[in-house]
Amino acid sequence: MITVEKLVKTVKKKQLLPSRKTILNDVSFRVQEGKVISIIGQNGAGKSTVIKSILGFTQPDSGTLNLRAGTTLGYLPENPYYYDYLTLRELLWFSASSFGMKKVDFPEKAKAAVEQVGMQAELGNRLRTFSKGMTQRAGIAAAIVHDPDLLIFDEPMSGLDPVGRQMVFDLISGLRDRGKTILFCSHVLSDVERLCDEVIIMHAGEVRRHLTREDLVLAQKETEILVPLSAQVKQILTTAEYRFKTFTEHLSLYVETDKINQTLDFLRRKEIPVVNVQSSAVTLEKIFYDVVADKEESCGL
Amino acid sequence: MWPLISVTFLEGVRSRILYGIFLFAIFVVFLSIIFANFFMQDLGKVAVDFNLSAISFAGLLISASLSVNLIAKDLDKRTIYFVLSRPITRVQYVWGKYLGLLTVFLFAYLLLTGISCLVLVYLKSEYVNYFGSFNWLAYLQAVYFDFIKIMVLNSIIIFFGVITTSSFVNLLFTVSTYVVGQSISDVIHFISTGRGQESLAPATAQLITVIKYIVPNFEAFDFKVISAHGMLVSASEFGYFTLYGIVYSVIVLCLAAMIFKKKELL
Repeated sequence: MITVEKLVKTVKKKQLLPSRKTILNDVSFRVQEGKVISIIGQNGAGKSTVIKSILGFTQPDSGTLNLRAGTTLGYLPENPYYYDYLTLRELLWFSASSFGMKKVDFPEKAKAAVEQVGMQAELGNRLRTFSKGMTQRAGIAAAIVHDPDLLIFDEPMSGLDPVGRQMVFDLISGLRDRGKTILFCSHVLSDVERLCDEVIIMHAGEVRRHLTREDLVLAQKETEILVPLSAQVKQILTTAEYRFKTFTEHLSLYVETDKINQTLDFLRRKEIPVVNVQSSAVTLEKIFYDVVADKEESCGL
Repeated sequence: MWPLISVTFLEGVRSRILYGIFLFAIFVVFLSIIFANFFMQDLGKVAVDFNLSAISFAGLLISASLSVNLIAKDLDKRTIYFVLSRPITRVQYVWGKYLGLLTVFLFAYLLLTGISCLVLVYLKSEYVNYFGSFNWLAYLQAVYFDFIKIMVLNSIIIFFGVITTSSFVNLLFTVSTYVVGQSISDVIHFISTGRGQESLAPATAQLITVIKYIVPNFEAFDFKVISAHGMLVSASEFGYFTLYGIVYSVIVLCLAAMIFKKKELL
């Protein structure tokens, strides 16, 4: 549905001598139809710039961006601010009518949208009377009122209390079940881990990891076996096509937990001593922190 | 574009500033009833001039408060992301905002003109002898051209609005353009006289001539005096000034749209 290829974006630095800062460097990824994809990264990693490039708010220096023709889009900006003199109904009508919705269809669609965000009682109220969390939910309603194919949410959980967060979580989950394609940025890694089919980790304007659900599930089911470091051991493990990581004094071998006995037998047969066996318990959070710390090989993924 | 026009109209009519300006303008219009008594000789002309000035001044105040902030607010508060993520192009955004503003001004001018007409009806009935040269069409003609002036001024505001994100800078540029536009014909007249040619360097005179072609001649839309004397312009003049205002606004808005199309919204 979306193809991003080799995207590069630089901006002018506000300095005495003009120079340019790279904010996106060779960013490539694909968003497939019906998938939920999240872009995570620290502040300034380039997440929002990628989204703004997809939406055409900014032009990349090079690279290509393709959005499937005829895709209807719903967008929730980060820290949204809407025309606060409008009522929620007027905001939804603005959103729906700009997508060509007919007046006759609007009441039903508006009702469905506000029900999903739990704001049925607020339709007639002005946005200026809304709290931050309510504004966020109003923004989500405006993004979904026209039933778009693709939803882009920039920090949808931001400013929400735990109840609101759970509501957004359920909403995205429901949209995913209805086959909608969702691309969103978030700092709430536990939600990302539970919701997404794919996770893109960005750091310093680059895509550092593109993980699939299988990668994450596999990472959680892995066990780490520590063996002493030697060229011979390295050779044996490479030949046997084991995934491992080299440390200064040992090698960490990553195997699926249900294959642990098989691996230990193999090591015994090859007379490789085992230093330790431990659950690797690789969570998205751990992978993320490794990427942020600029570790080149995070947990073999 | 219609959703944007209607939203901009709502922004205008729900603005508290607009109501403040309305009240002020209405107060001034009613003040003409009192003030007219001070000018027993030209009472009719003074009343007409007073009412037209109140409408014109209200138009300028609305421009300075509402129009100047319109795009700056969208850019500053990032509402623009919400708007442009809909199937609204940047060109449509510029035109939608402008046409929305015009609907606000149309509403304001109709209301203020209606009230001022009521005041004039009252004054006319009270001081019948002093309204001999009064002509309703001439009065409405002056209001109409003031609206054309506001149309041009707002296209300039939109133009500066897409260039700068600061409403103060926009206001500064717009006021400068307005002042130059109001006085350019006097300056041209001055340099065309012998005294002007003697005192001005040829380069300065040339620069003024260039400015004449860039900045709109706002004075051309001022029909207050003519209206006070109950005079109507010819059909050709009417058409010429109308066309001048429309063509100038369209050119400025096309330029604004071109610039806005290229603007980075990071």
